[in-house]
Amino acid sequence: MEGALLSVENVSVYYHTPQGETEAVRDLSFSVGKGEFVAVVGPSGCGKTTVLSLIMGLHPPSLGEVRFPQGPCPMGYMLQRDNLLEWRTLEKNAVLGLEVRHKLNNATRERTVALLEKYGLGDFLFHYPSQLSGGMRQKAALIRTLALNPELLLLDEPFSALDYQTRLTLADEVFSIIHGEGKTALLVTHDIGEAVSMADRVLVFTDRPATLRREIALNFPKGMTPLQRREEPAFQEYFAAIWKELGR
Amino acid sequence: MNYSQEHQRYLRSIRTHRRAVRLSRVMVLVLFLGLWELGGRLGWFDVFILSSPGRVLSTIGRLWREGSLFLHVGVTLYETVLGFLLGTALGILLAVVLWWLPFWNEVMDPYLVVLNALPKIALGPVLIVWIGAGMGSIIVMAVLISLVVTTVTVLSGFTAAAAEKQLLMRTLGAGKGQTFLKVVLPAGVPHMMSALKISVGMSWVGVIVGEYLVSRSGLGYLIVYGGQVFQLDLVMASVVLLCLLAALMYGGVALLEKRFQK
Repeated sequence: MEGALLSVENVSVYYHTPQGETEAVRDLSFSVGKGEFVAVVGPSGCGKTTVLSLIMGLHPPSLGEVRFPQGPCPMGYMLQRDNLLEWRTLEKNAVLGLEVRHKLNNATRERTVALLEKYGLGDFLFHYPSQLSGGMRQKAALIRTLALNPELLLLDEPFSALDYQTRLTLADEVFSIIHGEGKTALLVTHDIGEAVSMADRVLVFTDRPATLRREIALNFPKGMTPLQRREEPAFQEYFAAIWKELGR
Repeated sequence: MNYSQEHQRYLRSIRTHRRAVRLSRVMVLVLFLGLWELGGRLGWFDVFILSSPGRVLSTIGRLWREGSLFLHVGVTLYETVLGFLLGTALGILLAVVLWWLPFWNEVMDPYLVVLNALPKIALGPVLIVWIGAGMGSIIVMAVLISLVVTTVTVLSGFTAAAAEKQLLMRTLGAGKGQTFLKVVLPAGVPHMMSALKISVGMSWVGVIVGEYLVSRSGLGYLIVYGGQVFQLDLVMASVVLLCLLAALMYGGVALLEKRFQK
């Protein structure tokens, strides 16, 4: 696909352990366009996370190629757990990435604090992570990622460690943050409802070795939030379609 | 603030409990010292063998008047503090090096295990031959005894520093140095503190054993000397002083820990 921000082309990944060789990903191809929100759904342990570390460049593909057709693309990675550093205040946690890349100055700090304030964490700048709720912590982790101003966000089951209610509200918030900041996102999840409520397009993966089973474009009216989508009749249809694909 | 009756009762019960514990602690000490003194006076046992609190006090008083109290306490304290600081610093340094070089960490692992298990006291005679019968040997003994345990404890803290947090640092673009300074080192602070607590006790062991082997002064020397000339008062007095000093030093480390936990 032309105009894609990211293009994964015929990628295979093998893991090597003394016990043998595991094929984690087989001949996988897909692409993500600028501004798109793509979700990857698949059975647990099917190699979804591998795909993200592949894109992030943490793990090289055994075969095939990960390309960025529009040139190098700054990326941010959001992990399942927030991994906020307990000995840093919220503000200091949020600027960690800037600090690491020696980009911390008054302008970037102010920008980050503005993000925290904009998304409801302004009163907690000098709190420590242990004083915050799980949802707030995960939101702070997202802002830590956004502070580096990435073009593409890789979200690795970012809500799965949270309780159900927090998960739904946070999905709404993260969705609006990502759209508000005009980011492209690739979300990996095993939660079908989460994928259908947030994404523009869902990629269904097979069991290991992961390959692309089917691609489902979601047509919801523009500007609908994840919670609103869950109310739509189409939500159930998409859910059922993906469920069927996974069970095949 | 207005609390319910039940809550007030609850708060009161906590206070009573705390007071009871504190009071009982003092009582245990008073009872112990009292029985010790009383038993000696009533002839339940021979004070020549078991000494008594009064005789311990008067012995300490005598040492004070003779002016040797501060010499002995000072020498032992100096050796212990120096051994403790050097042992801890070198131990942490070694742990950092081994964390940095995983290959060598793996290579050195069995040696570290053996060194940790080895009673370092066994090396005493060797140290005396190598370094000489003096304060040097005593301090090296204290260093050795606290160094290995510090390295092992701190290193396990470094390696335990959440693998996922290190992955996070990689995704933020951090190299090894930054990962160490920003995540591994601060995450290892609690382990360093517990290493300090262990090695504070260890360096006392090293110094006292060192003084048993070679020395002309220090509390360990007084204990050995007192035992040889059958002056149990002197032995007991030295042990009491040791108790106080060790408790003080441990308290200092505990205070440091509290500050770091902030």
